[in-house]
Amino acid sequence: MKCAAILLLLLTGCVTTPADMYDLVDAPDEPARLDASKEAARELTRPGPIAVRLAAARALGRLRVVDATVVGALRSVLLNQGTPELRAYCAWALGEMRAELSLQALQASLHEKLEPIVAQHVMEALAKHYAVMTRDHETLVSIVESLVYFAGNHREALPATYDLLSANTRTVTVNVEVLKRTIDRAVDKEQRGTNLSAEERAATYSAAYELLARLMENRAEIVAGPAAWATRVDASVDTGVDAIAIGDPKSAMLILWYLGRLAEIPEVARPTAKRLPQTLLGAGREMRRDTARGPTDPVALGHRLVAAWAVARMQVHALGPRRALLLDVLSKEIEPQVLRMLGDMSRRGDEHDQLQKILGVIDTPKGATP
Amino acid sequence: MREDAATALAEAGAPEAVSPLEQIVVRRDERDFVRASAARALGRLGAPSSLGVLSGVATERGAPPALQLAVIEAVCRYQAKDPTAVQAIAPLAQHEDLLVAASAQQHVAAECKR
Repeated sequence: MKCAAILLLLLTGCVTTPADMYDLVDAPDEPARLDASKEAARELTRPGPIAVRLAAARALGRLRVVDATVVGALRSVLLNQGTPELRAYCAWALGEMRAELSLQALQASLHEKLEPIVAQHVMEALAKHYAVMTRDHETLVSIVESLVYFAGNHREALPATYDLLSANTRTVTVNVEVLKRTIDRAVDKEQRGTNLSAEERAATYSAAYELLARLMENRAEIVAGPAAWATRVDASVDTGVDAIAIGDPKSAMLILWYLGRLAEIPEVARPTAKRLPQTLLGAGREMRRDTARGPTDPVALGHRLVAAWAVARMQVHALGPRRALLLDVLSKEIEPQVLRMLGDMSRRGDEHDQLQKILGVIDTPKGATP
Repeated sequence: MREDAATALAEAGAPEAVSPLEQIVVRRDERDFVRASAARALGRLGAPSSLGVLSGVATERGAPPALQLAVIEAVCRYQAKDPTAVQAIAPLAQHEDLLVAASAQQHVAAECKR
């Protein structure tokens, strides 16, 4: 009975086949193309045979009609429904459109869990929108923000096109803006009494990494033309140090590590020296709280060790860190490992300064005279 | 569909298809995915006369990115026979489309050995 019904449907032409979808591509003019696209969009979202849905997605990519209904159908399947192959095809079809609507749909997918094949097609589709996304600064920053979220939360290796997009979109200025927005979101959440989600923390880490790694890559340029870089360097350092305060230990460690490495450049060390000792003092306060849980809390200890190392490296180029070390940090620090590191960093030939005297007390074995 | 027909002709290795495919690939009023499919087919067939046609399309102003990507792929198939073939796609390294430019840069740098 069921077979007879199917046969009847076939004979009357009511069953849609992949070939029907391919034929839609040959629509002769614009109105016909719009109708054809809407028909393909209907088939795409209908829970029918996968071959027909794949053919519908392919037809939509070939027709390239940018219509809210059509883009909505592709977006819906890309975000929520279907096999990875079908979702990848939807990403491809959206990529072929190269329009603002399709860019928005692709951007939305960056906040979802994407299988490797889907992620690869989404990245390629985004790359096809390069001209659209770089039309204005706001769109570019927004897209990079989503890319950062994607990179921070994608478990598999990032598609090669991700690096291509990064290289062409992530200037230092854009990266600063993206990290600032991440910080604003964290502050907003804190004020509302909620914590950052694991995904948001990963995005913060990714944003900080992209900013500071890009600064690192440009070391030679910063040294060669410090005046041209001053504004960008100051903004990067300020935003980086602000990001330490949002309380994600991994991001804080990463930022401290990079600021320490960048401290070899005077143009970076000076603005960092104005801000970082305060953060180190903040870490000291944090340490006292940690003492209740145990003075050797690995995160707090690691954080202070790296911060101490970074601050000590800045001493060569700025006075602020040294004063902060002597007057503020040392009087509050109780962890011998951190103090020893500061001492090792601060030695200058045979000079024995106040710091060395304090360390002498700590280093002296019990029972011996300092 | 003509797109699939071009692929089928290349798979069949039909030399008599070279001339019609060359005509399709240069036709600006043809749909870009059909032209792209014809370009790939010409690359697979590897007729010496087609390299000049493909080189011309590579420098065509306003050519769609899908076609240019297919041309890069097709031209690189000639590299084993003609070591200068890769020069035909060198201008595409400056293409405004990110994927086309990156693909051309990679192929030119590696002399199509990918």
